[in-house]
Amino acid sequence: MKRTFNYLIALVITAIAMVSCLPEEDVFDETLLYGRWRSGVAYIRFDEGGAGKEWDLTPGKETYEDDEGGEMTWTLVKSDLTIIRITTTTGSGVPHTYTVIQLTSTTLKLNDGFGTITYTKVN
Amino acid sequence: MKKALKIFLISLLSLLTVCLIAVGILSWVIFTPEKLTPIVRNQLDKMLICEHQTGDVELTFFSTFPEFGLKINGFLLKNSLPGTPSDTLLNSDKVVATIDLKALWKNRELIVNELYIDKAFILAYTDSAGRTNYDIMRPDEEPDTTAFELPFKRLALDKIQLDDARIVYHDTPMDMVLSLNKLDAGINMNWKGDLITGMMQGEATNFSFYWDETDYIKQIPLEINTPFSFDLKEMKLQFNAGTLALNDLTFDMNALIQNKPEEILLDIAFNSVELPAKSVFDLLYVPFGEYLEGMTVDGKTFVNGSLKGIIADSVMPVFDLKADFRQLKFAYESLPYELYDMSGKADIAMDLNDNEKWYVKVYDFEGKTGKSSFSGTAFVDQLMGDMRFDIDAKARLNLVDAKPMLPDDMPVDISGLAIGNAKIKFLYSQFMENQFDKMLIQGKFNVKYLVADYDTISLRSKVAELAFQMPNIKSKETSFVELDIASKQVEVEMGKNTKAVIRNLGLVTSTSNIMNEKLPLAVNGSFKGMDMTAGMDNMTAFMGNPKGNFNLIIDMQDSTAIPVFDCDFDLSKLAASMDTIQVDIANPRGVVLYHPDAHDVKRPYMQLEYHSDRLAARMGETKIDTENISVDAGVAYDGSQKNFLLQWIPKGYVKMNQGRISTPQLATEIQIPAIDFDFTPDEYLIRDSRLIIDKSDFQLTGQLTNVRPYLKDEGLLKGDFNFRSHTTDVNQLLDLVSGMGYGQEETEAKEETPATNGSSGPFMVPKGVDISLYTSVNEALVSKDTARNVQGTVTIKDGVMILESMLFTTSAAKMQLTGMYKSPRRNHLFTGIDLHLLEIEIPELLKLIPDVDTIMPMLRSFAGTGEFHMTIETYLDSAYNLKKSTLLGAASVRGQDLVLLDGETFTEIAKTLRFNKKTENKIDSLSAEFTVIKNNVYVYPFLIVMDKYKAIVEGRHNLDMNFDYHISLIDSPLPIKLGVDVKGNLDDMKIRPVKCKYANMYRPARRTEVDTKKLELRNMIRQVLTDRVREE
Repeated sequence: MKRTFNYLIALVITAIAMVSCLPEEDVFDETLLYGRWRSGVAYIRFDEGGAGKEWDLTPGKETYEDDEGGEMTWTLVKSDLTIIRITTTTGSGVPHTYTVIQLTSTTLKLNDGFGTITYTKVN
Repeated sequence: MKKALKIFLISLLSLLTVCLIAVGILSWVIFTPEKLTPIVRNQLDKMLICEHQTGDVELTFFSTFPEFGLKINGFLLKNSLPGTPSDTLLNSDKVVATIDLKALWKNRELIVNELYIDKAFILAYTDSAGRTNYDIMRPDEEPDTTAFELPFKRLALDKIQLDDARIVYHDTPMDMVLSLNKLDAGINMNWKGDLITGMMQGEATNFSFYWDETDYIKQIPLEINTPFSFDLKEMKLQFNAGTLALNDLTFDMNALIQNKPEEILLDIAFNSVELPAKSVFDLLYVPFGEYLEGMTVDGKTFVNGSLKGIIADSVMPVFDLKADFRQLKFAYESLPYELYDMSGKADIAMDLNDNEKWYVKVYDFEGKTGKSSFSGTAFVDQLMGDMRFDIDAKARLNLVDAKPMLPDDMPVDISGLAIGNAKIKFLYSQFMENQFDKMLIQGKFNVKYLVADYDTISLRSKVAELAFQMPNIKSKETSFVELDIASKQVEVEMGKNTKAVIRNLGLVTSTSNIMNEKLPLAVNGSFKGMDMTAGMDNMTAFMGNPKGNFNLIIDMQDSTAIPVFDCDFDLSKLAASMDTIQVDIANPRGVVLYHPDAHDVKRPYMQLEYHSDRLAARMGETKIDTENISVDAGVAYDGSQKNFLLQWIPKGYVKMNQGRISTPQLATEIQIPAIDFDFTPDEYLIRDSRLIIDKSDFQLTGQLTNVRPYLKDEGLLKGDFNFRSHTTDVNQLLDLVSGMGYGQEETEAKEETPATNGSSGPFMVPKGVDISLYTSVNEALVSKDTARNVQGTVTIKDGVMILESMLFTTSAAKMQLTGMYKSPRRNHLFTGIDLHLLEIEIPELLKLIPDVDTIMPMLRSFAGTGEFHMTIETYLDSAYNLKKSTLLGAASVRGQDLVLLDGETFTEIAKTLRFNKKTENKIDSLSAEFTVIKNNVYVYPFLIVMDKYKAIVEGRHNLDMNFDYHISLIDSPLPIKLGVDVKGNLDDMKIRPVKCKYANMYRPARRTEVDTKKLELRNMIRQVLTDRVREE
């Protein structure tokens, strides 16, 4: 019995030890997301309430935030940022997920599993 | 002998001396004035009832030698009546009567050899009651019932002589005054029983005759010289072959005047010698000057006349005058012409019983003016009232003579010859007051070599017929005049470049009184012709057999009033051309109405009813050909609108059959089997509209609404149409409607990208419209494929075209398509589709939508039937190149029993994953979801089952075909789970074995959180896509 109890204690300790060894998941303040962000010609705007817009602004091209920007919704759970672009044609959503690597008042780094994109805050 | 003669002479002288002494004694001793005067006065007192004054009465011998005479120095008779201009009946300075004393002594014959009255004033007056001032004889106190017997065996008066007399006859009841001034007259008489014959001669310096408020003769010289006879028993006076001169106008005269009980019989005739017309005119000017004002006459004339009939209480004679005038000239100050070489005859009849029967008749009249001549007759009656003229004239008018009638400032030249006749009936007052509407005028003229030039307008006709009728009795509204014009050919030119030729013109038109501005001007008529050709600059027109009727009413008092106009027309042919435009219409006919709108009389309303048979038109290389066209359109005008189109408010219908249009823009002609639509200001109801364009045939029915708000820019043009077609070439149809409603800026290429397809530009969705087409197309040619049984709704709304749940079948699959295409700017196009392909052959899918290969390049490795759902949208440039940064979409593919096409990539992957070489390349099932965001295509982990192998594929590639994929082999004959990464591009692909990433994705109990998240996203994508699949 005592031996069995010792095994159990050892298992619990081992389990606790293993859990404590898991990397701690990052949690970001979503309010820091609000506003326009730019990465090269790519722009993204996070509005309060989970709405936003994404567009490219190519110099010399007829691209504008107003008429080519894609409407979107977004959610940030801890470091998981899910952006759902709303299609004009059907109103349906096209999802894409990112992992927030860094979020400060001026810098936003996102990774979508294939690469990292770095945005800077713009007015 | 000498002695005897001496004795005889002495005796005779002694006898004479004794006689003279005796005469002297008689004159100066016995019959002294003192003795004779009272005797005469007493005798006059007994005879007369009027006042009389008698001067000295003396017996004369030497002054009246060889007769004794009785001389009264001063003799006055007065008899005043109310209203008489003078109370004097007779006044003379001296009256001398010479008497044959021998006859008186021996035979008791009272023979007055001469009665001389010097400076006599005689006034014979009848007052309104019929009393006369010369009724002065004292009536017998007791009527003498014995037979009248002269106190002498014979009573005779041989001569009466008047010197410097003035005689006035004033008859108030007849309103007649006759006066002779400075009259010297002598009447020699020869008495034979009751018959007196003799000679009368007299001259009066001033002769006047006034009658019935008219001075017929006024203070002109009068001279008369005529034998006469007077039957005392019959009381009949006759003048035979006498002469009468009035104002030196001499007439031969015969007269019979018989005083019967209660009546006087007159038969007076006179004939003139050749008289100067001016003198006769001057004579007539006195009584008729009112009518002759401004006229001058010169020439010669003969005047004959008669006065016949009875003068009694209620009967008057008839006066006839005949004039025969020759070489007469006539001018009237109101006429710009002088008439000359006039000849003719005139009869003037004056029945003094009734002046309403008076008339003047002119006949055998000929005259000339300018280069014109005319002849005819005229009849004028009601001479004493409003003269009534009835003229029947033949004329040969040189139209050059018409120019003086035209206003001086009117630049008109006219020439030609008009030959014809005219009848004119009018009253003098109507002529003076220009009351042409009350005149009766009709005529017919042949006009030759007519040339009329007005400013730059010129009219020519070699032969024409003109008939006119006033009034026009056929129409009450246009009763003023009717004109009937016919010409073999009329040429009209305007300037140097406009010309029209009408052959066999027939124009009948009538008008209301164009001179009365108080009444509306009404014009109506009809026209016809063999043909008409017209040209203006480089435009020509031909009308065959034009005919029609027209009616026009204009309010002359209100310049703002809308005129009323209607015209019906019928032509056998209408052909026109201008530059490269040519129109040829067979039998165009119709009615045009223009009048005030019934709802608002201040707005015009126009109605057009038009029909024609074959119409052929060409504009450059564009040709239009139709069989029948019918249009019935009413258009109201609203001038308050600024937009030209809004100013017109149309209503009606259009029908057309068998139309064909060919244009260089289209390789083949457009056939229009039928068009039939009704239209109102707000709505077009298309009952039938069929087109055949090359392979396409369309039938469009439905309604186009909200037209006026659209024209006002206040709303969209709305339409609901059923679009039926057996075959529709969609590409061609889009080209046809491309670019409607765009401004130049919107269609200009700012970022010009060379068109790669050779077309003129992108399809621009019409703006300002909201049109829905409920389509039913058996066969639609889209791109290079054919869609069958196409059904669904196509909506075009203000620059956005939406294909809503279109169901159709192509060679690849049954398809359901929802699409959106927007073209805000030429280089800024949006397209989005929601496509569901059921039971599609995957190679056919790639063939149908080549872009799918870009998004899912792995599909090219599969063959077999699957289902495919895709939503994708992007902006495009003018050459339809993707703006990749705007690309957004999601797709889902499902397949069973697919064949994996052998390829280099598959071989490499199979080698890396240790596939059995005997493994069949058949895939049991495939289920994958994709998203497209910007330049990247994300493939969510999906499972492929192939033989004994199960693999999960996941990854990303961009549109440049750079890959980053991972394949996890989760089930295989091998005891281990392998993974492989595929990276690079098609030219340099690197495949590396790696750790199996999704070993437990399809083992729920062991699934990781990431696995779960990705599966959720897949399901979400799948759910969203398939929810919109429409059940058939």
